[in-house]
Amino acid sequence: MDMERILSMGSRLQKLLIEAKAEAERMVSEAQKEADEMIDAAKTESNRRLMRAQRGTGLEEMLAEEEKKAVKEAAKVAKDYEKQVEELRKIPAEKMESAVELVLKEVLPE
Amino acid sequence: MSSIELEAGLIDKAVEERNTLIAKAEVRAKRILENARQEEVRIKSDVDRHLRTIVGSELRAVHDRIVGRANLDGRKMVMEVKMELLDTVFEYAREKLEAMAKKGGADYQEVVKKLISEAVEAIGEDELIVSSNKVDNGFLNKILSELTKELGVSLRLDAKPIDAMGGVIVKNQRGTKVYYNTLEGRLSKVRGSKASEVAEKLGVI
Repeated sequence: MDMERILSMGSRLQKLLIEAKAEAERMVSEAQKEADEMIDAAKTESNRRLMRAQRGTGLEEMLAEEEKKAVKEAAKVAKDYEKQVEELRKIPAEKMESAVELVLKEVLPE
Repeated sequence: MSSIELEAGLIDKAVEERNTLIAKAEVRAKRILENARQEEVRIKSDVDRHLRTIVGSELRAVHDRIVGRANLDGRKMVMEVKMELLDTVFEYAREKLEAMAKKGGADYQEVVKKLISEAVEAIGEDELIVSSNKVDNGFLNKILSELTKELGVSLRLDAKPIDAMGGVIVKNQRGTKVYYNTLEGRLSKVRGSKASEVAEKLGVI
């Protein structure tokens, strides 16, 4: 009686493992399918963009992207210049005085 | 070993084996997707690079237009501030000169004498007319004869005062040679010729 029960259980466990294997294969297969679709889509999009570019169309996206990058870079450039201007305005009084003295020395005859 | 223990052992082993199978599958699926994502990025980046070679000049034009403008505006802004600083220096200098001329002290009188002497030497004639502002006319009236002796030329003070902060305009009798030696004239000349030296003093070059 015990032996029968154990055999029956063994058979159920075997079935569980077969199902698990199937589940594992399904998971891998789905991932592979998704991966293939991603790559296919990327290739299709790339080909489409290349063909449009070769025809001289479809560059708007790249130009817009370049413009966006350039605007960002320009903002940084402007900020650097603003910083430079800020530094320029911090001239110490002694330097200013020294420059005035130089002018007076040049203006007044020796 | 009892049958219950045997059963429990079989169940544990089967569950463990199942979990291992699923875990390995999960890892493999994850790796497949990760590789696909990397491949996707590579494909996009390849095509971007290819496109850049096709439309590079247009992209550069966009970049240069926007960043170039920012650089130009920035340089202009810096230049304007440098000019403002120079203006400030020359304005301070002008104020100091004006104060000195208004005060009309011995130092200033000495300056005016030198200005006249310089003009006399530059014109190179014996009879000259000196013009100055109303205030300077006052002390020049008193010292001109002394200066005439000192310089060995005939100097006459123009009765009509000039509109100047200070300094003099000297001319020959016929008015064919005129030497402008006013303070504002000299200041303006220095502004033109020494701006870079002044900027260097300020440390803005």
